[in-house]
Amino acid sequence: MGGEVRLSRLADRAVTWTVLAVILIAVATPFAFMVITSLKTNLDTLEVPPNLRIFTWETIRHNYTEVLRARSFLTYTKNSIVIVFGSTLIAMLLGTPAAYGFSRFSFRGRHDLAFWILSNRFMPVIAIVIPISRIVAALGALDTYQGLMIPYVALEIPLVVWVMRAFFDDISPEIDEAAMADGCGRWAALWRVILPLAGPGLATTAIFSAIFTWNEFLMGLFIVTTAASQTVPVGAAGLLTMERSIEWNVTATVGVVTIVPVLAFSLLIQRHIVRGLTAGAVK
Amino acid sequence: MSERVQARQVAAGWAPRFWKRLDNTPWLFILPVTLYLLALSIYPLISSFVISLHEYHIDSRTFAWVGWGNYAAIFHDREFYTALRNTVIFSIATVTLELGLGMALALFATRRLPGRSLLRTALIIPMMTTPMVVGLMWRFLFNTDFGIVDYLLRSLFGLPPINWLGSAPYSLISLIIVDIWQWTPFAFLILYAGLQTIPDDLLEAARVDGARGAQVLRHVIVPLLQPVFTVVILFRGMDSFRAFDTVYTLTFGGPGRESATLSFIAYLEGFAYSHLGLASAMSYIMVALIFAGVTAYRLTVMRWAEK
Repeated sequence: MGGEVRLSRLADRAVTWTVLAVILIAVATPFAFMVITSLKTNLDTLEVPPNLRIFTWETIRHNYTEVLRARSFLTYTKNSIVIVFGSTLIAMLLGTPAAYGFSRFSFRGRHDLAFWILSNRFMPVIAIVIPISRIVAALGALDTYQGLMIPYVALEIPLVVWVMRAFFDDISPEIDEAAMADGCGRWAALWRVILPLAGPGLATTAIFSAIFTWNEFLMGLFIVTTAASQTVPVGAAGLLTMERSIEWNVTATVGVVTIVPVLAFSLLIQRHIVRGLTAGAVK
Repeated sequence: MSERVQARQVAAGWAPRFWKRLDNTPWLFILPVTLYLLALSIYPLISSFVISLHEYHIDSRTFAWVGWGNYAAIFHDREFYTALRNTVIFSIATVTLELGLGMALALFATRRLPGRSLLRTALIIPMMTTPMVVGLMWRFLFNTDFGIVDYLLRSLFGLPPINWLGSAPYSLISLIIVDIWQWTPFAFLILYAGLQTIPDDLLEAARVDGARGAQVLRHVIVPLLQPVFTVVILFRGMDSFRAFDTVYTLTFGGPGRESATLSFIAYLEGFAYSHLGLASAMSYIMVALIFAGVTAYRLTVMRWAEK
C-alpha cells in the first residue's frame, strides 16, 4: 500500500520533470543553434549532425566584425535605437494622459472611444502602409528618423493607452481626490502624485512598446528606401536576397545581434508581461 | 492681499473658472491621441480605399480611376484564393493548437512544480523574439540538407527526407509549427493567469460533489474561463490573420505561392510589382474581414464584460 503511493508519486514526479525538460529543450534549441552557428565558418555550418569542433576566436571575431562593420549592422542598430527611443518617448507622452483620462473620467462614449483606440492594434499594417509612405514623403521625411517615428508612434499608441490604463486602474482614485483637495489641479495631480506611484507601470509600458517597435518589420520595409537608413530587421531581411545563397554563419550572427537587446529587456519586465500583453482585455 | 490684486481677480473672474473647468475635463487628456490616430490611422485607411479604386503605379506615375476593377481582378485571381485558403487554414490551425497546448500547459503548471519561475522565463522568450529572426532561425533548422529537424526525423524514425520549406503542404505546416512555437506561451500565460482567479473552494466543492478530473475541467473550469479563451482567440486570431514577418523570412510564400498569406500577396503586389491600387484593394478585403471579426467580438464579449 505505502509502496504503491510512493511509486505513483515517483511516476508523477517523473512526468513533471519530463514535461519540463521537453519544454525547455523546445524553447532553447532554435536559440542554441543560432548562437552556435554564429560562431562557425560558413563551411562548417553545413554539416549534419552539427559538429562541436572547438570554435576558434578567429572565426567568431570574423563573423561579428563582418556583421557589425562590413554589413553595417552598427549603423542599423544606431538607426533602430534612435527610432525606437524617439517613438516610444512620444507615444508615452501622448498616451499616458489619455490612459489617465480613460481610467479616471466617466463620460459618454468612453467605452467606444477606448475600444476604437484598442482596435487599432489589430489593423493590418499592409492596409495603411501605402498612404502612410505618401504622408511621410509629403512631409519630406523619407529616409529620416522622423519618417519612421511618425508611423511608429501611431502603432504604439494603442499599446501605451491600454497598458497604462490598466496600471492607473490599480491606483485608487481617492489618491487623486486627496491631492485635488489639497489644491492640485487634475494635471498637477497626475504629474506630481499619480505618475510617481505608477513608476513601474511606466517602465513596463515603455519597454513593452520599445520591444514592439524594435521588432517591427513590414512598415520599415516600405518606408525605408536607402541602405543607410535601414533598421535592424529591415537590414536583416537584406541577407535573404535571391541572387546569392544564404551565408548561414553571417545570418545567425545577425539574428543574435538583433535579439540580444530584446531578450535583455524582456527579462527585466517579465513579472509584468501578462499584464502588458492582455491589458484592457482581462480585468 | 492688496486691493489691486483683488480687483484684477474679480475682473478676470471667468478666467480661473474656465481654466479650472478645462483642467478637469477628460477631453484634453484624450484629444492628442485621438487626433494622432485620426491622422495616421483613419486617414490612411480612407486614403487606402480611394487608392484601391484606382490603377496606381509609382514607376509610370499612373493614377487612373477603375472603380471596382481591382476588386473584380482579385476575385478572378487564383493566387488570391490560394492566399485566402492559406490564411484561413493558418489562422484556425494556430489558434486551435495554441489554445489547446496552452491550456494543457496551464493545467500542468498548477501542479506543485519545482521550477515554475524558470518555466515562465523560458516561455516569455519566444514571444518577445523579433518575428523575422524567428523565421530565420527555423529556416536553418528546417533545411532538408543540413537542418536538425529532418536529420532527427530520418535518423530516429527512419522517415524519408522531407523538403519542409520547398514543397506543399509542408511549407504551410512549417509556418504553423513556428507560430505555435512562438505563441503558445501567450496562450499559456493568459490561461494560467485565468486559472489562478478560480477560487480553490469552488474546485474543492465540485470534487466533494463527486466530480472527477475531466468533469471538473468541463463543467467548472472551462465555463469560468470563457472570457479568457475569448481574449486568446481574439488576440491570436487577429495576429495570425495578418501574418507576414515569418512568412517573409521562412518560406517567402513558396514554393510558388503555396504558403503565401493575404498580407504577403498584398505586399508582393505593392512592393515587388508596384501595383499599389491592387495591393490596396487586397488589404482592404483584409480590413473588411477583420472589421467583421472585431465587431462580432465587440457585440458579444466586450458588452458582457462591461456589465
